[in-house]
Amino acid sequence: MLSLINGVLSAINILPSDVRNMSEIAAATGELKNRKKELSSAIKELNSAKKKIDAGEKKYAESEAALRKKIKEANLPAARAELDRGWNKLAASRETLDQNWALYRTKRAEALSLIEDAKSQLSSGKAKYGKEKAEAKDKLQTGRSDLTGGWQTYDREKENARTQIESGRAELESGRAQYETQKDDADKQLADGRKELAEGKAQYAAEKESADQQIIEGRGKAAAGRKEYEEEKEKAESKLSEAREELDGKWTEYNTEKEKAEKKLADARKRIDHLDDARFIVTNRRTNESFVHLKSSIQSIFGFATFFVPMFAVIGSLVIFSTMAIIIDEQKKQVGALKAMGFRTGEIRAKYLVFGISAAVIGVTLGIGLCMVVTNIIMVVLRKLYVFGRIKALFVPGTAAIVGGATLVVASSVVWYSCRNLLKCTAVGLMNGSEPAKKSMKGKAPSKGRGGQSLYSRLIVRNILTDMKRVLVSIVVVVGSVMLIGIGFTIRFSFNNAFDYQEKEIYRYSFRVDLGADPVEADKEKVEAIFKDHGASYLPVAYQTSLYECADESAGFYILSAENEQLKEFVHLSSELPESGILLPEKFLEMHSLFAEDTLILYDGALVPHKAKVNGSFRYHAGFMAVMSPAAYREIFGEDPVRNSYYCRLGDAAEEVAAAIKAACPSAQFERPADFAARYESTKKLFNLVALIMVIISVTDTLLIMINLTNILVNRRMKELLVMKVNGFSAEQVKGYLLRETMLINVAGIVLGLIAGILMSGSIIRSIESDYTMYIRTVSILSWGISIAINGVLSFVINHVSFKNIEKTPLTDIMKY
Amino acid sequence: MNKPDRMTVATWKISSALLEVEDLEAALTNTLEVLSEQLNAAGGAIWILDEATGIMHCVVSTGPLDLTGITFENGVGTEGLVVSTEKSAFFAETEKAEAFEGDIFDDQGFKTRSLICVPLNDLKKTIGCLCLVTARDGETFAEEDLKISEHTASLAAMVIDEKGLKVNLPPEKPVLMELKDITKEFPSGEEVLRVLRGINLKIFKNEFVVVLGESGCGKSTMMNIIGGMDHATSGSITLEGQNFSVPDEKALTEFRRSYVGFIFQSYNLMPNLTARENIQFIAEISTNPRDVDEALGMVGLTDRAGNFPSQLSGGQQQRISIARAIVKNPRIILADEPTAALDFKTGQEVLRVIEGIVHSGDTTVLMVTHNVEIAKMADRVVKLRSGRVSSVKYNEHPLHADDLVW
Repeated sequence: MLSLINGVLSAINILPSDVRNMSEIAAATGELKNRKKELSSAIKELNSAKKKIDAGEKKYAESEAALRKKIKEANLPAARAELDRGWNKLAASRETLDQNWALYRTKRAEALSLIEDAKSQLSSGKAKYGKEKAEAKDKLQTGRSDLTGGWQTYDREKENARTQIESGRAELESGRAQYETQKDDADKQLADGRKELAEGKAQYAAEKESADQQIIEGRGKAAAGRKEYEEEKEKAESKLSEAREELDGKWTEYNTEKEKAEKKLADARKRIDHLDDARFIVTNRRTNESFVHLKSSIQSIFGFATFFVPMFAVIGSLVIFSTMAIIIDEQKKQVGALKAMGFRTGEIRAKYLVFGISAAVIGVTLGIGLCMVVTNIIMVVLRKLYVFGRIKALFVPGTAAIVGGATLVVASSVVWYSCRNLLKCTAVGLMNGSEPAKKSMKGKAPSKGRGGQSLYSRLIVRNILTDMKRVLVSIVVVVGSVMLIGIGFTIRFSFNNAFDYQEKEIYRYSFRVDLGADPVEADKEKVEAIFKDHGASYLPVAYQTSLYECADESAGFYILSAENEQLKEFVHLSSELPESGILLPEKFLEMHSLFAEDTLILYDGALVPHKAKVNGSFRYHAGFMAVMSPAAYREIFGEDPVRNSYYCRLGDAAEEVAAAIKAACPSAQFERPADFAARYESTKKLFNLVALIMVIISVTDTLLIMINLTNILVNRRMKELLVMKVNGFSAEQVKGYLLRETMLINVAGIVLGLIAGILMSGSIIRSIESDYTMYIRTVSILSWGISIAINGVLSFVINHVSFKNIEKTPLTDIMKY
Repeated sequence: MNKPDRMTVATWKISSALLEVEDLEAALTNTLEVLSEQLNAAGGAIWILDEATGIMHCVVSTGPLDLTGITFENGVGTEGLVVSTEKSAFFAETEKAEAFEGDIFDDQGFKTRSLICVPLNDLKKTIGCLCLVTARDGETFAEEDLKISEHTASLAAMVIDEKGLKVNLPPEKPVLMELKDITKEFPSGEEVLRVLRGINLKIFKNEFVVVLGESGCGKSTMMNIIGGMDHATSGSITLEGQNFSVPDEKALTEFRRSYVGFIFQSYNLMPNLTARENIQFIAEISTNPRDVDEALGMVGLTDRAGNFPSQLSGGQQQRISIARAIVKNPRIILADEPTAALDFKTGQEVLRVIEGIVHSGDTTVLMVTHNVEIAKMADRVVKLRSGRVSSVKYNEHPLHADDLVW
């Protein structure tokens, strides 16, 4: 029975608490059922055993009664002895029975509790089984669909594989053919190879001998080396022992410093414990460098657009106006013919309106297309600087509608106005050229020119006066070209030179090493020792980040404190550093409308505000930095400046020194003038690109427009020029006569363009500067020189192209004009 | 007796006219008159060839036109062909005859219906020809008329040969420019348009020449070549005895600067220069200019010196244009229809100026015009036809500008 109960318990024990799958659950369930059966049979046996015990007791009672009867009837002593023996047996049996009963009860209780546990485990197992069955079903479904997909994939891949096998077979066949072909070559190569191998073997044998010799020599050397190694090892060991001694010394030092540090820490804790209420200041995005950089680019591009867009609009409108008007004017004979043939005014006008509008539509479409191309080019550069999300299109319907609408309105208006002037004339007058009346000189001119003025000069002046429309447009185009090219180059040089100046003229150091806000003396000593070892010129300075407040606005900047005379060698300030007060960058003062003697609030590390008096400005092109003497620092902040940085000046060995410092003080940070330049490299590229685009657009526009206008001039004057040639003027003289007029217009345009451009370039540069940058604002002679040169070349090309007609036109065509 | 036939009668009458008069010229005139009467011709002419120059001269003419003084080149036109080929030409209906190349009568404005032209052959050589024409609305000639004419021509040739005929040639003036066999071709698509087919012309010093011709005959092309504005395709040009056939651009420019003055139909003044300045502009580049004010005075516009062209009338502008041409002291002035855009009175003013220029200086004026009236004041009238000089007429007594009426 016990073994049975043990079997049940072991069966129960093996009922898994961590059944994972259906099969295990099924197996466990089956096992459980079996064990239940066994338990039931065990209980049945127990019950039968109990029955037997009850029967036994009953029998015992009967036996006892019979015995008592027999005792009464029997020989007592023998019976007593028998009885005693029987009682002893009975006692022993009872004892055994009691033991068995106790054991039975115990085991029964255990079995029942185990059964209860098993039941609960079964029910949880069932629940789990149910859940996992559901999951397993899902997985089965998924597995089935995966299988289906897999079968499809398999079929597909099988087909592909079949195809590939076919192609592979084809390749194999071709390879075999190729193999056959190349086999001979291969055999030959093999023979050659074998020959080479034989030669190689011979060579190997020879070289092996020499190698053996070398090995022998090497062994000798190795022995020598070993000896040397032993000697060096001794030396190293002695050095090691020295180092150990030194280390011990350093440990002592460390402990000393540790004590100091712990003392400082205790002080700091004391200070923390006695801290005032926390201070806070509100800053805006100006303290976020990324934002500042992005805003700077946006401001620059916006500045470009603010200036160039109206300018292009004005030039474009003038060009449309004049060109359309001239084209319509050239059509006067055709208009006259149409009138003579009976076309109504509206019908004639409609033809030219269609022309004007279609030209405008084509121009707008091409212009918008070109605009998107140019914008995308600029975006390519900007994407190198910033991370943009996916910008779907740069086409702005509103802007396109405004530009297109304005162009159409201007073109249509010009055509309407020009047609109106022609349609007022008679058909005959238009056809024979007498209408509309040409502008001609009025009044009587003196016989001789004033002050010895030459005939040519008078003629040129009068030609200009009688063709003012074309002349004015030409001048405007040249003015625009000179301005655009000049300003484009001015911006480029202004930007590039500003940062070059800051990198090379203001920063006169090789690098600045920053040891943190509160550097340890040991680090400083290390750094200074390295400088001295390398003979570097250096200057300890206080360089810290800080916050300023001005007109309720707070932002971050840097504070530099050093002695004036020493600082000059490393940082060139355009003003002398005063003993009191602070120097601020010119752009800073401009931005915040500050002047000398004004007050600026500076915050220390604990965000305690301090008042600082502005005592001057210095030239600084990027970033903001307040410079003050140590005395001024003390006056403002009430404590000495912490010299946490070093400027270093050393030629080619600067990097070596920097590396040494970094090795000695891993936490040191370095700032180099080249880093500054690198930061603005992408922006420089952007500016160069924009300037280049300005120049290209300007050159292309000027070339096309001026060739057109000059061709019109030549065409209108052809009769006059042919008369001159007929009367004995050479081709060169005729061209020279016209060239004087065009050159006068060009010169006028260049001069006006220079004046306007130079006057405007200052404000344009200011408009494209960002908050933290100041470009070179002075007149760039080189830029304007380049503009004049380019326009001179353009003028030469234009005249050369347009004046060819003068030579090409035969004298006999004089009647045609 | 049978009545004598027409041929016999005509021959007898002609012989009488030719042989019974002592004066050869009178005899030839009578002969021509009789012949014209017999054949019902409207007019006729006898041409004699000057062998030295190859030029045909008209010695006698009858009918509505006086052809004396007119010359043409041997081989040109019907008459020239007759002489050069020594074969008679007979066109019953000239309009319908494709081979008809025109005749002098047509050139001079008399439209012919029927033409007979026979060579004057004196058995040794052809010395000229005899021509008869009928009017457009007249009768046509018959074959018999041709025979009569040929008989007459033979007789006349014999008489001329026997008695000798001196042709009164106009006095030879110094030659300024001579054109020989000048041709000019223009490409016209895939074809070549031959505008000038062989111009032979002498331009003499100090004369007034009018060039006439129909549209497209090559007048302007010839003028352009003479004026150095265009090159000839072939032929030669001599200028005061020097070869000027293939000048380079520099030589042409110098030629136009110093030798030639131009007067255009549409004036072509510089609109932004005053009258005086227009003249001065050209004077400044000339090698031997006249005084500007003198030139202005010659055209009578001294008081308008300071006015711009737009403030001047058409005639005044044309006179300024003439002053601009003469200020250079050119050897030739080429005038292309200078009066075409002007009314009669203004045109007459301009012609007066031109007349004055010719008479006052050493300048030849070559004028192209459609106005045949103006031809009466010319020393010579050159007629062009189909790219060739069809005739040159000498006016023995040219009219003055004031005498012209159109």
